[in-house]
Amino acid sequence: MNNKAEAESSDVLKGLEVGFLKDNNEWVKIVKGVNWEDTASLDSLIKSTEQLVLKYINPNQTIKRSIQKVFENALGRYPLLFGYWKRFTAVQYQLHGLNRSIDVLSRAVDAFPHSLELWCDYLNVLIANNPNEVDKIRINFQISKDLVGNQFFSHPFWDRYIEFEEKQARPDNLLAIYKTLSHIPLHQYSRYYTAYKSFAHENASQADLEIDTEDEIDRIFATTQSLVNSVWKFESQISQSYFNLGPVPQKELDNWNNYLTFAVESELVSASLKKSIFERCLIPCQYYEHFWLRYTSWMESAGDFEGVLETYQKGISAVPLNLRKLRQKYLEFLKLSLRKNKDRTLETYFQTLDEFSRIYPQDGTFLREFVAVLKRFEFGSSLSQTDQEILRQQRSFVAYLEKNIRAFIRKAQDGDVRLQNLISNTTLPVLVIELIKATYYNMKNTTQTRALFSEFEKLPQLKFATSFWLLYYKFLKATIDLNGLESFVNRLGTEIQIPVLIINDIISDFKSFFITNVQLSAYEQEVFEGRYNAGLDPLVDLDYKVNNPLWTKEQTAKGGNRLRKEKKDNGHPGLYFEKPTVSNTLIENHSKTFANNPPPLPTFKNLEKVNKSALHRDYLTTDYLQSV
Amino acid sequence: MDESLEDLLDDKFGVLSLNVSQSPLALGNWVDLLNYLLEKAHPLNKRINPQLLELIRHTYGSLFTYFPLLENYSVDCALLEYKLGNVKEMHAVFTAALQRHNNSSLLLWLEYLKLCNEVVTNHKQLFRKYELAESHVGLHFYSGEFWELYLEQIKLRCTGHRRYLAVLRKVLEVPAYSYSKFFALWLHAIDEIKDVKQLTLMAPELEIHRKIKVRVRGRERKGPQLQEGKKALRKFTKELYMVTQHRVLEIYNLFEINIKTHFYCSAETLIEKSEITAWSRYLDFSVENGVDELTHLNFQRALLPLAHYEMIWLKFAAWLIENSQDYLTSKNVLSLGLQLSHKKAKILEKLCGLLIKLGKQEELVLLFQQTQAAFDDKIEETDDFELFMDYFQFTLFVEKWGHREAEGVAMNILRKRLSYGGNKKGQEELLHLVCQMYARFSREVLEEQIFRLIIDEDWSYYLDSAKFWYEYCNRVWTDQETSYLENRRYIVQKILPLVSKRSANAKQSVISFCETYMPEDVDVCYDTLGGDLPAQLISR
Repeated sequence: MNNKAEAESSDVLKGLEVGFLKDNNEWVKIVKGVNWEDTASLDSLIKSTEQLVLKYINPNQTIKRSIQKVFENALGRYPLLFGYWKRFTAVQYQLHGLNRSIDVLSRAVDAFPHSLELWCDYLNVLIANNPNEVDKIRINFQISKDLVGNQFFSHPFWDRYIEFEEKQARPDNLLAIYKTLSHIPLHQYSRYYTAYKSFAHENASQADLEIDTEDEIDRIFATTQSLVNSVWKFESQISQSYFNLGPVPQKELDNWNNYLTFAVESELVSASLKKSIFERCLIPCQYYEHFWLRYTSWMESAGDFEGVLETYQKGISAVPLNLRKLRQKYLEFLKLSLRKNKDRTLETYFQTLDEFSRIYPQDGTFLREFVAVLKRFEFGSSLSQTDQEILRQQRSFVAYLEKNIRAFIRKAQDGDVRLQNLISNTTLPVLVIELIKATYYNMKNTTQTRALFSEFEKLPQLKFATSFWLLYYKFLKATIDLNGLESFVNRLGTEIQIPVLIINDIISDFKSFFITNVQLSAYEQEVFEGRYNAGLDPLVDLDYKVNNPLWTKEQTAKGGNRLRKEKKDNGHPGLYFEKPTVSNTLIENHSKTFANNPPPLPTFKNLEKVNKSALHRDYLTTDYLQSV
Repeated sequence: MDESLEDLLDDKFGVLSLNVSQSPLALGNWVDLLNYLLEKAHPLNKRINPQLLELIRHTYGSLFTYFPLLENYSVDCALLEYKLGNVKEMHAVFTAALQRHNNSSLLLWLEYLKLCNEVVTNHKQLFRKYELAESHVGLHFYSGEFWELYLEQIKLRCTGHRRYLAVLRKVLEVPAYSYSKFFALWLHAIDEIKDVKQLTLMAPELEIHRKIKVRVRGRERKGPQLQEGKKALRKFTKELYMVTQHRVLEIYNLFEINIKTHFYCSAETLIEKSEITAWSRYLDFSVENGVDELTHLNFQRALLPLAHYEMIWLKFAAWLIENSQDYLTSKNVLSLGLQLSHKKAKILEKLCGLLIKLGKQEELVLLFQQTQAAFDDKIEETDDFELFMDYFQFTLFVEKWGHREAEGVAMNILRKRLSYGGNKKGQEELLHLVCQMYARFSREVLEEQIFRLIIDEDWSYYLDSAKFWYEYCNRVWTDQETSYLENRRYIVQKILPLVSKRSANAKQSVISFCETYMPEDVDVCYDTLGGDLPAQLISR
């Protein structure tokens, strides 16, 4: 159980009397041990809580509060479980009476606005209990019409709406309802066809109502009928239209996918209907990034900027954290929107970067994006400006970066808060790289660049930062600093600890670079002066370092004085064995050398270990786990 | 009366020799030709037609030029001379054959020494050959037969036991397949000892005194001392046996058991992967554990079956350099490898590096000429990208030696190669390489000769690719000679407009370049690249 769940369960039990806890031991156990990912466990929690309500006819405030909390926790996590909303309403009615239960329903339709059932319940309750608040009821009908009115099985809602307006005797409103309704592909569309016709017939005398002619109505419903036929293919395949924990069957997913393809491509389907189909799909499939990606793409093509933003934000709060495509796409959308919609977008963009860098603290891309956009808008310069102005902007950008890096390192408070929030030990290299890039490419200050490299390479945060070292390597190449390059390659694997694959690439690249940029005569001179006797010879020695980053030439340069070889290896990596050996072995001597004097008697090492089993040396632990 | 060669040979000879000259790398053709000639020379005796003999010798000679590692044919050739009674020639053939194997062929040594036993009467001369063989193949895993021969000859030709025991004592420590036989001989020798003095043939007197507590020159009773001494020697022998046995079993179980091919196979024969890995691991093991002499020998052994695999040549050469800075041998190994290995690019690259390091100008020039000739002087047409790259880089590097006119020619080859576009691999890497030849090609030269060329010739392979534009922008951006403002202006005003008509990939690469290096120009970039946001960029 994680921290959040623990805090919730202790909050539920807070303040309850010992006697109560003892009497309801089972319930307490369930509250403490609930598994939020499991439907059965969740169900038993709700059920046992409901039993409390039955058991205590008149519970005290603390108990009431606890019961309420159980529901709120469950629905806070899973607002799409409409059954629980209904049960919560019933419980609330028992505990606190009618008004509080209506409140719950009103919260329910807020939290789960596309639920047909909840809306019907809510409207029913409103009509039954407050029949006089006509305006309030009408407003709710109008709101819900847009949210659930397009759903294939929404006829109970429409029936109620028509009934309501009939009671109010408002033919104008009724006509508006019929006009909307006639275009929606509903399961019971033919019923409304007859109803609309008889309504038209009855009200034919009212000239101020712009009722469609009979032919018109026939035509409209003919179109709707064909739409219903095409939609039915998909609607009939939906077996789980509600949200549930656990994966959605593949057949359902395929059906939704095909349904959406049809809806997006069909011209008969209106935009609001398309939206409704997307929203309905995302009820059972709310954890599936794929559908969010489709939804947002469609929204973007439809072009409503605010709507797109809202959809993205909804999607991001629903999609599990390990899926990043939607989040990435959101950032790209925002970045592209910066061009046209800068004022509206910039703040959101920065906030989103901030939020994401909190979710994914290891990822430096958010910081990089931030710096790029910051440079674009706050240190921007256009080529139409004067040289002095452009250069001034570059200088202040460099100063800004440097100040913030130092502020972070010194843990000082004088940095830019927006930026400081994004920096961590793992993302610091991004900022350092930007600073060096700006110093070298924009200020063209080679000396200062070199100073920055030698200053920052000592920072522990940069020890493993591949991109930093690659930039360093690139810089050394661009300045054709051969001494620097040679010592850089020498340090690879020992002082510069980056992945072996990258080391291999650098080595082969350096070889090419050396051959294509150095004059033969210069090389010959160096060979002559003995530079490569001890140092790495780029023509011959580099290959030894490939896949063997710890290799250094010093080991072999001593010639005869080489280190004693490891003789324990038995041909299986990681398995070592104290082998029996002859310590004064003479196999390297020629037999002729002792033809006159016999060789000494053999002396032995490890002879007693001849039958000992091999020793397994655990490199994972010694080299990685303990050294980090 | 000798027949002339023409009378002796019929039409078949023409066909066979033509086959050989047409495809000299097919071993089968050579075998057919040799068999034919040898059949004509039958029965072998001193009255063989001298012209025919000369022809056979030449045929063998040419065969060995193409297939230097054919041990058995060398033996056949030497035996032929021997049967004809040409002892001097027999020696010469063996010496030459051994040389081709760096004296490390056990088979050749065995065959040679067997013949020497017959024909060399001078003991010293004979033993000198044995000593030479000992230093080269004495540690061979299958050297048991050699040591037996050696010991046999010592027994036959030497008086006294001293030399015999000295050799036998060394063999005891050699990790050879038939190790136990020698321990039997040694134990037998111990049993044979009749006198305390004889103990000094097997161990130094001082040690006998100190470790075995037997005083050879003392006045004690010799009988018990002798028994004591023999017992102690047997104990040492037993312990030594344990060590040698352990070592032999280790080598055998881990490696030798997996190695089934011990001889050179023709180029068409593929060696099983398991065998190649066994060799590779065996060699690693030898390098880590062994005696240099043995490692060297194992490399030589591995060369025979794996001669057509570059791995073995590279490994051998690398070991020679790393272990003993023996650049010269390493160079020779690579030269032979270049001739035999199927894949040559890596060997060629290493060899070039070594030749430059060693200052072997003529050889390098020759090598380049051969390489060029192998491609009909159109090396830029090869499909082997690595080979082309190495050739290009090294020719440029050694321009001073005057067989190439430096940059101009290099640039020409380069342009030709680039003109093949998508038909050749590695164009992007080549472009990248050229772009970072800061010391050779200035930005102006590159622009004029490469970038402008590609743009003017409208080579859409590059112009619609992401890499080209990124490389172009990057080269301008990193130019040391010009200022930041110049670079920025140039990219925005000169390069960006060129991309506007190009593919989405090309545009994307320029946009990402801008985002990385010049974020303030992103808007201009979008504007220049064609108004509205390209839809495919969004749905990317």
